[in-house]
Amino acid sequence: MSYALTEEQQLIQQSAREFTQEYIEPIASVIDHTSIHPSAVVQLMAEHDFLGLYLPEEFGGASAGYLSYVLIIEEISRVSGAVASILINHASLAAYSVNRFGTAAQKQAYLSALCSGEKLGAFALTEPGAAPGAGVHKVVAAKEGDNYVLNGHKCYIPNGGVADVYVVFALTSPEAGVKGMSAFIVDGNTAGLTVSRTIGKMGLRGCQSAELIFENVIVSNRNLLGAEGAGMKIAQQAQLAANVAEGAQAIGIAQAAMDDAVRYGKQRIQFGRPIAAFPAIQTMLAEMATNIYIARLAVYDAASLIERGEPFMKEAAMVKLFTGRVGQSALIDVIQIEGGYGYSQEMIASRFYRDIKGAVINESSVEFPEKVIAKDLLA
Amino acid sequence: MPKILVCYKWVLDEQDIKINSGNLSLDSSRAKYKISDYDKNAIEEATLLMEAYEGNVDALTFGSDKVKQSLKDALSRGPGSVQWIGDAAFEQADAFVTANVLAAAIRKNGTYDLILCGEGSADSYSQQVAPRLATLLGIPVITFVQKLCMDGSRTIATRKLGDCTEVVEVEGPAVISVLPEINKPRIPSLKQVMAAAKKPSQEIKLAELELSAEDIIPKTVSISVKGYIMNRKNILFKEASQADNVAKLVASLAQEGLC
Amino acid sequence: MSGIWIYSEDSVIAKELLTAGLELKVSMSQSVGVITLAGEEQDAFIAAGADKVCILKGQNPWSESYADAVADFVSKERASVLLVGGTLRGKDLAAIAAATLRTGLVTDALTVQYVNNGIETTRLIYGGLAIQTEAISLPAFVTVPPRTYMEAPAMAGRQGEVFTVKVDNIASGISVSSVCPIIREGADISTASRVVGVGRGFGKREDLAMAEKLAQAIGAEIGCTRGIAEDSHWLPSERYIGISGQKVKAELYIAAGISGQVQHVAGVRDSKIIVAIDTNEKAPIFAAADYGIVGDLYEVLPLLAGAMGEK
Repeated sequence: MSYALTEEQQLIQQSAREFTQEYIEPIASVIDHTSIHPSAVVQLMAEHDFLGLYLPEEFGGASAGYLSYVLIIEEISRVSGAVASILINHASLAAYSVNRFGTAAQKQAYLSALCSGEKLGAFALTEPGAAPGAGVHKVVAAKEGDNYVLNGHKCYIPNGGVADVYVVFALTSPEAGVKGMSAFIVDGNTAGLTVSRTIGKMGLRGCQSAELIFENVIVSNRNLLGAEGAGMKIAQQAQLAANVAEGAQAIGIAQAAMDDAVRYGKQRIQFGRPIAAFPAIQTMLAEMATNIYIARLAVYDAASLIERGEPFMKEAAMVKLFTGRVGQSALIDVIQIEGGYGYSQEMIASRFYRDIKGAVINESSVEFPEKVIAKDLLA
Repeated sequence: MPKILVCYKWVLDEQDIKINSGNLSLDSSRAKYKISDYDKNAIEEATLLMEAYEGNVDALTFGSDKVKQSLKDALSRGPGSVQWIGDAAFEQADAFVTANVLAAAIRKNGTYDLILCGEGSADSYSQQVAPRLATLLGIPVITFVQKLCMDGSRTIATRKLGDCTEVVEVEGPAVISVLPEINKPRIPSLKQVMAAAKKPSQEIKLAELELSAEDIIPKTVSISVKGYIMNRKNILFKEASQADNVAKLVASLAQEGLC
Repeated sequence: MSGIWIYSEDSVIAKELLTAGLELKVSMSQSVGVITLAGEEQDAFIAAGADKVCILKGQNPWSESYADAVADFVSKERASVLLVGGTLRGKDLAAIAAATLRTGLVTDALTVQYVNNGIETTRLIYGGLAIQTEAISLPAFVTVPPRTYMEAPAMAGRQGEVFTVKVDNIASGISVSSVCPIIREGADISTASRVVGVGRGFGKREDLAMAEKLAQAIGAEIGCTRGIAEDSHWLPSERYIGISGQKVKAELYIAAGISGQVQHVAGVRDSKIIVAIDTNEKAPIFAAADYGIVGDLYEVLPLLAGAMGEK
């Protein structure tokens, strides 16, 4: 196990930082205020090979490895959690599923377009009334000849309405519950697939979440991803891969928030001293810096497991669990340090505070991380 | 098919340099290095010329032993190869020494149709190296260029000189220094970053160059570097009511005799 | 080695440098001379303190083509110091002459002094973050930015030596065509007594109208950050203030929506009073300002324009 980033990884990180400073940071708060999907930023990310970064070269990806990919997620998250979410849903969920479980023909048809950025991906799992993890999935796919016909509702689908390709989970054997769930690749412009509304969110605004309606949506059996009934496994694997990216998102947000608190603490004078001179503030900063440091190591380690093709489920779940705690506790302290300043609506600390919650709750839906970890331990 | 050389400097990022409040010394212990911003414009312009005229671009840099860290960064921005001289002599080098070293390295490599530089460096910004280099190589220099194109062996450049612009033409090789406004340097794509690892880089040892001992003794010596602190009043008005703030500001300006 | 020489293609700047040259004359006990392309100014230079005036007469109107002639001349004169007016053309010529004669050159010197049998200069480095003191061995070449010194006043009854040197500078290898003056809208911000600077705090180009209103109310010119001029192209690049742009030496400089990067601050630091308006209390511009308002410029500027207009 190597603990130093390679020169190439460092350069990728530096290049991503240049990119985010130039193209994302100046508009990050506007993206948040307006909640509008930043299509120009996504286009620029595509031109800079972000969308297919870790995906295979033969399909137009950059084959840079999953660690390089999470480095980029971390950099983007330091300026905009929302843009990071757009990329995670595209790359870790939609494209990951097609790359890992798709046939050669499916990859040719979809992965190339996802890597080049010609098409943006989304991952349609959650349904209304279905509490996370409950396994109640009401989009049903009925087989008719060479096709499946999908009917039902999905909600809280990130990139919903702006994506061109959806990985959709639907019940092919409703009587079998989650074991009867299958995954499909569905073009966004397929007849019968509509967006009924977009959903306003507390944070990660600009990563558009939408409610999708499937009304007699005809999907060819060539677009069945994996075997019938393999939906649960696909969803879980993709979500765990996404968990590692979300870990990077959480530490990126936490790091940026901490940097902001450090700057503030050194400048804000109270009782004749900068507040950073007070032990209470120093304790909070030291704690969050330590947590972020350890969490980052875990994120990088889990990412390199994925990169090397080794089992990563337990570690990904641990990353999800730990980075979530670290991120949330850091943001609580950052707001505490910055007081009224950080609490102001236009300040980045309050945006990060809202965003971190989103980064933490996303993709913990199929199984709670604790359950994944315990299952592995007790196996 | 022009053969283009672009020179760049690997400098401390001034944004990371802190001023110690006591003795005003500089603390660069946390400062990272970067390709001098003005040189990024030179690299971009060289790359644009290469793309327009199907030429090739080599990069050349003189720095400390740390300069090796810059190679892939430079290569990811367009040049096809890079040569570097990393030597402790750089730490004391002034423009006289830098130009001598670069000129010797260029002489060793044969000729170029164009040699591009930034108008100055982000650290010392002395704006001397391009004209000095041209003089040492015995070729013309065109400084402060805002627009550049080539027509066969002729180079046509628009210079911008404060109160006027002028179009100049030169036949044959020349050294060009470009203004930041000439282009907007690209941020390399990740594939370009990764491709940089496969491009050739070559070290040139200072000892391999035809330089006299005198050539590398600086003519200017730094005596001291101190943070430049301005003594300003730093009076902040930050009431919730902007009308109050403005009233206070106007009163202060009136006291200063400014309104 | 003897003689302090001054060169600028701009006679006003040459007279400013005479002020510096006359200070050196006192400390070095050496004569001061002016090298000029403007023969008609010979008497004015002598009146302003020059002991000698050398008129370079060539056929090429392009001042950079006199670099070799200047180098030749100071070499023959065995000059100890050459002060060059720090215009872009001046800096270009000085560097060529320095390379030809293998001498040291300091550009953009803020001060020039004779210390320990050598020349000591100060100049800004790291984008204006720090000031560097350097020693140059003689002969020392130094360029000094325009308006660093006051023009040396004319004195009655001064005598001096004037001579003309013929220069063959036709074949410079460079042909110059279509010289276009840059037409400025409004006055030159580098000499304006009041300047309102605008930065990224303005959301769209039309909003600059608020800054213009304020400028009108107080009789100021508009300047801007590099981003506004070179990335957004909202204002022409000669309006951009900074270490590599214009230097403002105003009585009053008002920075609106400018965070205050060191490169920008370096361009305004010689102003007498600096006022900053920005929403971010932590913005570095406030450290560089005499007075600051923490607030939204969209609210503050109209109020300020109103209040200043009434005065």
